Amino acid sequence: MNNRAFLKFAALSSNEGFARLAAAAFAMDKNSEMSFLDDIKTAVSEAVTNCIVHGYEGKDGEIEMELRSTDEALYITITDYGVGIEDVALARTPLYSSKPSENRAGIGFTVMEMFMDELEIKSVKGKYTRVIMSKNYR
Amino acid sequence: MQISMGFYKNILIISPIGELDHHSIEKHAGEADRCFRMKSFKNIIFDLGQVTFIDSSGIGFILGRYKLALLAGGKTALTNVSDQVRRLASISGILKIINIYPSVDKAIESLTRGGDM
Repeated sequence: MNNRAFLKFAALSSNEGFARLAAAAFAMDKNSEMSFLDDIKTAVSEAVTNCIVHGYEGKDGEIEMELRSTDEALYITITDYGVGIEDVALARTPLYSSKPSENRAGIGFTVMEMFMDELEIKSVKGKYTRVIMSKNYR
Repeated sequence: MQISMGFYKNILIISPIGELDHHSIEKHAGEADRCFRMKSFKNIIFDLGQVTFIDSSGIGFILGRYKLALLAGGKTALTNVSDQVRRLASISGILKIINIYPSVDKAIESLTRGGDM
C-alpha cells in the first residue's frame, strides 16, 4: 500500500535527530532490518545537516521533508529555501566542501549516494536546494 | 550525546556516548580540544563502543582531532567500532590514516610501542 507523510521543521541542529528517526519510523513498516534503517537514518542526517550548515548557513529557516512509500521503495525529498548550490556537480565531488574546516569530511553527498539507490539534487542559486532520494525495500 | 574523557600517559581517550552527529559535535568538540591542549596530550584514542549513530559530521569530528594530534606529533586510533561506524569510516577514507584496534588496551599497546612516549 502507498503511504505518504509531510514534515516541516525549523533548521535547528537538534532537529537532525528528529528527522532521521521520523524517516526510519516511517520506513519501518515495510522493512525493519537494522541495516536498512541505519542507511535511511544516515542519508537523512546528511541531507538535513546540509540544509542547516550550507542552505541556511546556521541562520533561521524551515526544512521540508516528504516521505513516500510504495510496496517496492521509499522516496525521501528534503528541501531548504536557502542559498542554493551554484555547481551541483562540484558539490557532489567526494571530499569537496564549500566550507572546509577541520570538522568537515566533505562526504555528505557521497554517503547519500552509497546508502541509497538513487539520488537527485536540484538547486537554484538563491532560491532552494532539493534532494530526492530513494531506496528499494528489498 | 555525552562525552567522557580519560587518559593514559600522553594519550587522551575520548569516549562519546550516544549519537555522533553535527548537533552533538557542535556542543562537544571544544571540550575535547581544551582537554587535549590543557594537558599537552600527544595521542588520541576514540573509544566508539557506546556510539549508537554516526554520520559524516562524526567522521569530520574524528578527522579534526586527528589533525590536532598530528600537529602535536602524535597519532589517532579508533577502538570498539560497530559495523555502521566501520562502513562510514571506510567510505570516508580515514582508515588510510587512522587504525582500528579491537580494544583500548590494544590501541594503547600500539601507540606506546616504538619509543613514541
